[in-house]
Amino acid sequence: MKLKTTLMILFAVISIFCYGGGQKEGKGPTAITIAVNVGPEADAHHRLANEFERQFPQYAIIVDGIARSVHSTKMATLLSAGSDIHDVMIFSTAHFPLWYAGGWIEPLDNYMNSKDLFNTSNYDLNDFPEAILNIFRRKGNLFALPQEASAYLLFYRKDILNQYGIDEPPKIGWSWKQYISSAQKIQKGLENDGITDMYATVFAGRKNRNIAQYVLQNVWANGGELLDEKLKPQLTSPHAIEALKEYTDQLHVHKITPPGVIGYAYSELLTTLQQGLAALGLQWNAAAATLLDPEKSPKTAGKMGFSVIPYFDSKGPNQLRVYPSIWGVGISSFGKHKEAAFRYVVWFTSKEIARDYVTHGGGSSGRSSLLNDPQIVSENPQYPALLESMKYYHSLPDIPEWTFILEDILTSNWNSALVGDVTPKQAMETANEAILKLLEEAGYY
Amino acid sequence: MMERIDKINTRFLNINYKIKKTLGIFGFIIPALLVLFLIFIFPLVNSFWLSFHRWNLITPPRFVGIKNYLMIFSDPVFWTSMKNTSIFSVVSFCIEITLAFFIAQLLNHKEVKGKAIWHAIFILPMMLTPVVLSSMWRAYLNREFGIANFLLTSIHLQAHAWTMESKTAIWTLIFVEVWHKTSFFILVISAGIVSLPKDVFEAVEIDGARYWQKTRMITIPMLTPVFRVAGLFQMIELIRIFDKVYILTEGGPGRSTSTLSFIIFERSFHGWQMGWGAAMSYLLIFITMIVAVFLIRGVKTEVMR
Repeated sequence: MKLKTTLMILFAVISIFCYGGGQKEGKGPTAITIAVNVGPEADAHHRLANEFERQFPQYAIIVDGIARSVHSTKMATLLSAGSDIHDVMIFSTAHFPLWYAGGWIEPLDNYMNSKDLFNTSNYDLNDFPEAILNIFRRKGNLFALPQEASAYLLFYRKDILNQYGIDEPPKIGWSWKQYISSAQKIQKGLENDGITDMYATVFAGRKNRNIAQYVLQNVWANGGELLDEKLKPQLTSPHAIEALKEYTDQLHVHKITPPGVIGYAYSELLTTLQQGLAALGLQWNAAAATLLDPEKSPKTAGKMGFSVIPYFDSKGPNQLRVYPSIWGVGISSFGKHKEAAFRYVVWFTSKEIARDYVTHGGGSSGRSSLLNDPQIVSENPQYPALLESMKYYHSLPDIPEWTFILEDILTSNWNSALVGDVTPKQAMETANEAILKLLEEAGYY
Repeated sequence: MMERIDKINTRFLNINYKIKKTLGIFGFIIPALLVLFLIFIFPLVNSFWLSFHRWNLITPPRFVGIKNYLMIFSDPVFWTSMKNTSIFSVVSFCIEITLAFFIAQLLNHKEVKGKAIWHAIFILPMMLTPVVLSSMWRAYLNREFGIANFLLTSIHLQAHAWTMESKTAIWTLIFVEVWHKTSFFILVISAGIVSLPKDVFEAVEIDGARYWQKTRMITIPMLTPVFRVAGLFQMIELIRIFDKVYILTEGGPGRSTSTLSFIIFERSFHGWQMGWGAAMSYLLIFITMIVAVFLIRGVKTEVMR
């Protein structure tokens, strides 16, 4: 009797574990699950979900907001296990090489060729700069449609430039010579006026991807490359060393930037600009919204100007030199509702919904028509500079090891040079060697 | 004959009863064992297996033998991280336990009023999560607008980028760690002090023993098992340190605060070198076990004494 009771309880317990393995197929809207970063991106998907469900009542949207700090690792873990939890995924240029190499993202071209699913003229793919679409293109196939495109911009205080008799940068931006000479003039002016807590320039020199992105942009601006066509690192070239020196010199030679810049990330850089402690800054365009808001930034609202990041005189302003940070919306290869997912992807990145996204603080979208729209530009004066910057987007290495090269090898070595522990030449040599070793071990040569 | 049959029947009934009892017990614990296997034993064995493979998530794992382990030992980044972890854990531990000992003694002094309130104040830092307190200290220690430098410059001392200068970064990390975790030792040592026999102290006071004599000859030896047990838990935490490093310094400047856990994170989740990460994790477990065995043996010796 006791044995019977025990076995019955055991059976009941095991049954509980086995039950609820999945939803029953049946009537009711098809659920489309979206994996997206927590923040303005997820907020936009949440907010617009009802509108999509109203237009397409056969679908129900589930937004899975993932903390930005764990987004990459969580998604890579799920996708490497072939998880079908998500149908739609929002991912960035940093994630794309690995996700593409893993076959985790569905190519969109087959769906785009279907007239039922994609209205070419309505959608207007040409509204996106080609440089943005190419970021998510491989072997002629498109793997994502852009949700948001960002770039580092030169932020400047118009009033301070005016005060010290400096003309604002033109549409094509300043050269490094112009940038440094303007900054030196500002710094001297501040010192003469007895202002000791303000500096001419600021950037994010902390040991994270910011410093790597700045210097990499400069390597490209100077005609250099990270890797050649055989994936051999090229950081020991004079162009690369000079590129790093432009940043280390601001701190150690010209002394035009706060000493604490070696510990600044996005938040510290934003605070410095917000508190009016720097006249020029190299910062992500997303910071503009805060700096233009009179409630959040009373010292800078109405006084900020925006331009493209500096170029090298020897290479000119048309040199591709801008780090492309683009978030795309794509379809999981493992999702069960790919057509439905594609409908959502196209809908969310369409002109009408992108306008809603932009005007409600979601970000810049990447659509030229919106970045040129007079009404949108009047509230977001940084967008013309952003649109100009997109012309100079430089492609990123298309290897899964790219994230490690960016976030580990480049950041640690270039931060060491900025701190003053090693010279720029030594930093580049060490980084070069580390990349060579990494790619050798990975079997690239 | 009947007696023999009865004996056989009884024995059979006993065996039957034992089988039933055992099955009953197992019946109740099998689900828990299953869960334990799935979330603990299987990942442990799987990661050990992975440490002998190369795997980057996108291609199938490739067996490489002990190459991952050899790569680790030939990597200068590993040795730098080993050095940083050793300095961080040993120095933090020594400062924490020393500071906590004297604070605990003070808090338990007979002339101190409001002991409960003082204890509550001193253990407050321990209540903060590492991420919150690290974010807090990152703001406090900012070179230009942090309160620490504001106070220093107001008394004409030099400001520093505490977390981002090579000379100060690791010591700043140690400072934050000591600020956070000394509370843990205070709590444990206080409990130990309260449990010490008062008659021993009364006896030596009658003999004219002074504070340092009492501390050196009686308090410390009697509290040694407490030190070792608390030290065991804390050393394990110190060797595995990650959260404070990630928020405060991100392993920088350069590699001056990269710890063993931090490089595991970097290689595994930036470099997608899962085999290397697994191998390094097992090395970390091995190092932690050596320290733990050393401390546990000390506890056993004390107990036997």
